[in-house]
Amino acid sequence: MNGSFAASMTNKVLARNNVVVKGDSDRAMLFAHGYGCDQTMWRFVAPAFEDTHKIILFDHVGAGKSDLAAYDKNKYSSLEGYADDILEICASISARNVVIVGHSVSAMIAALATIKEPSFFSALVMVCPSPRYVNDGNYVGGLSASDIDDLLNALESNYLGWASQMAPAIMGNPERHELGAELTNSFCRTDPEIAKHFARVTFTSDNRADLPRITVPSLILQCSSDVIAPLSVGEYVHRNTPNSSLVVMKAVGHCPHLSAPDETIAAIRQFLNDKVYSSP
Amino acid sequence: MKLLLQYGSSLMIKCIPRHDFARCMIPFISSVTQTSNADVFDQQSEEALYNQLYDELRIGYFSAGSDDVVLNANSTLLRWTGFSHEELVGKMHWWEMFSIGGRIYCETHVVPLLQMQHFVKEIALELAGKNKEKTPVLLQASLTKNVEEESKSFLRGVLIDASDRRAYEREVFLAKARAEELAARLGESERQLRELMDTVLHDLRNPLHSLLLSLEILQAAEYHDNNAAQKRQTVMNIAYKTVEQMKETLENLQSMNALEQGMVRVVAEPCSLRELMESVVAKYTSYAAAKNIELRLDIRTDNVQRDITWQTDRNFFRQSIENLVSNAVKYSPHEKQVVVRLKASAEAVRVEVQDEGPGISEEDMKKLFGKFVRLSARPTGGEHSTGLGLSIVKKMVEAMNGRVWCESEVGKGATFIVELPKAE
Repeated sequence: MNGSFAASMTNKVLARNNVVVKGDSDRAMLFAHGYGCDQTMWRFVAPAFEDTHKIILFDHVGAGKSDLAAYDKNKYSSLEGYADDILEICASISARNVVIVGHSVSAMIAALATIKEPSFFSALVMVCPSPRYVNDGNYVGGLSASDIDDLLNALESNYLGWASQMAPAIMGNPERHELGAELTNSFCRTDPEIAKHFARVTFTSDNRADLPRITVPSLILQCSSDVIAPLSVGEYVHRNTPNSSLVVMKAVGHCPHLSAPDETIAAIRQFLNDKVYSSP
Repeated sequence: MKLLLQYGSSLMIKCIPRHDFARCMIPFISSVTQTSNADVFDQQSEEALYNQLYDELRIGYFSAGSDDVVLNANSTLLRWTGFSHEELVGKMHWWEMFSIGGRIYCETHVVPLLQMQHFVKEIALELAGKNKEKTPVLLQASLTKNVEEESKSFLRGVLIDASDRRAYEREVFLAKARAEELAARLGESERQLRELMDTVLHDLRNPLHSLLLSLEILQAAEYHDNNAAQKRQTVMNIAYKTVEQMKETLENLQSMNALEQGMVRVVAEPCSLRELMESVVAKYTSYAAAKNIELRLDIRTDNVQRDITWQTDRNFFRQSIENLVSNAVKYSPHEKQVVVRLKASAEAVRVEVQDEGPGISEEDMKKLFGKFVRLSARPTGGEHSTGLGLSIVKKMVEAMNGRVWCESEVGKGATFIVELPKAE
């Protein structure tokens, strides 16, 4: 491949997904945010691994500071489109031995990426994963089809006041200096049409058949009382994923990396030491 | 924040009657009897003041611990949700008060915002009460983080009844949808007006030009010329055809206008469809023969009397079928066949006009029955087309409660089908 062409492709991918790389270790960790917000979600967890890993953060197309113009409804009508982006990011920065950490829907996106290109990855961490959110026959996903409509209504109501020029910085938050002013209230906002489409794709996805195809060692971080991914779903993922470990956390809700970063960091660290970096 | 609290507290102590104050303190005093911790007691008495203040203002108020379990809820919130104090406080997570969509929204948007910036404002959610009744609310919440001891972090939230606002938003939403639909319709009618202008200018100016030329030739004709009579006849024929074409254009425009203005109504009467079909086909036989096209009529009846008497509008029926047959002949290649079928049963009649032309592309199929549309097909004998014929057919057939559609495969000809149900 022509050198300058490769360089321009790399730049295109890095800009498209607002990729941020820190550190220069042989070992890398790539964090994939879930539905709703952007890479800022990893603010309390990613720095803990900076000493030992190259840290790769990015925004899915349609979220955060990604290139909204790159949002292609066809490509992103299934989770594979997002998984392909992750593989392109890894290829662009020649990342290998990557520990890929995915939250919520990105746990499945990350899993798909490891299935497609196992040689890129050394391990998979799935934070609050669900291969299928909607109940289906004997399978209990936790949500019904009408619940998804209810969510779309909630999205609609909360985007009524949305305007494209409002996207960055709504108001300052002088009391909290650790937050850049540019973040305030903006990192959970995106174009309403994209948000609705991503919600539909996320909550109607069915990746149960992909779980047995995961080959890299994996960790499932399951929260207590998670309305989106209940305990039985975490257990289902564990049962159906070869070479997987399940940790049920004390943290409640669906965002332990925000509400209980210390517990999250400790669980990931232990998994890496025990299952990934332990010498035989 | 601190300033506000102090101001709020002193204000409340002054304005709450002593017995009310004591009453609203009771649950907290009783719940803290186990501990002598003064901090907790202060926090609880503050909570009691909030309860009272927000109840007076009809604002729902709650607080929750770091485990998201509700620590306190005022009576306004209990009334809205239908839960008792015992059912909610100490038992439920704060986000469990909301509809399932709201809960997911909380997990994917609100909780991250709270964790990152410690407050959220104007979040539109729906309280889902115990009796499944939904109350639209706006949530404003603030998370007080205890960095040293995470378990001492707590959340305070107020909920404002947003029923009126939501109803208003729904109206705005509907109005927006209506405005968008109207804009689309206006855009379409503007396009049609432009096309109408083009048609009128083009279809009337060209024939007028040709007519003028014919008149000039006639005027300049030399009467002693031996062939004068024959030349005159040729020019007269051209002029005659030209006037016919102008008349057709004007009649089409007039029909369309009359149909759109509702100036013509369907007048149903018993008609012999066999007779109507025979006369339509007879009218176009010589036109078809000039292009070596075989025009064939095929009538099939199924337990229906021979002349097929049908209650319908004679003029609408005739003009619809005439337009379809004339189109088929106009666009058919020479030496081909056009078959007109009439199928009648007790319930419905169906007319099919089938040609062996190039067929209709998917692109053209979408706009086939539109007004002033330019399709890719061209008349095969240099005839002229107004782009109105099919839209008139559609309007007329629909006025007769029937439907018209086209089935075609590119390269294999096209069949236009009109189906009329039996009149009630």
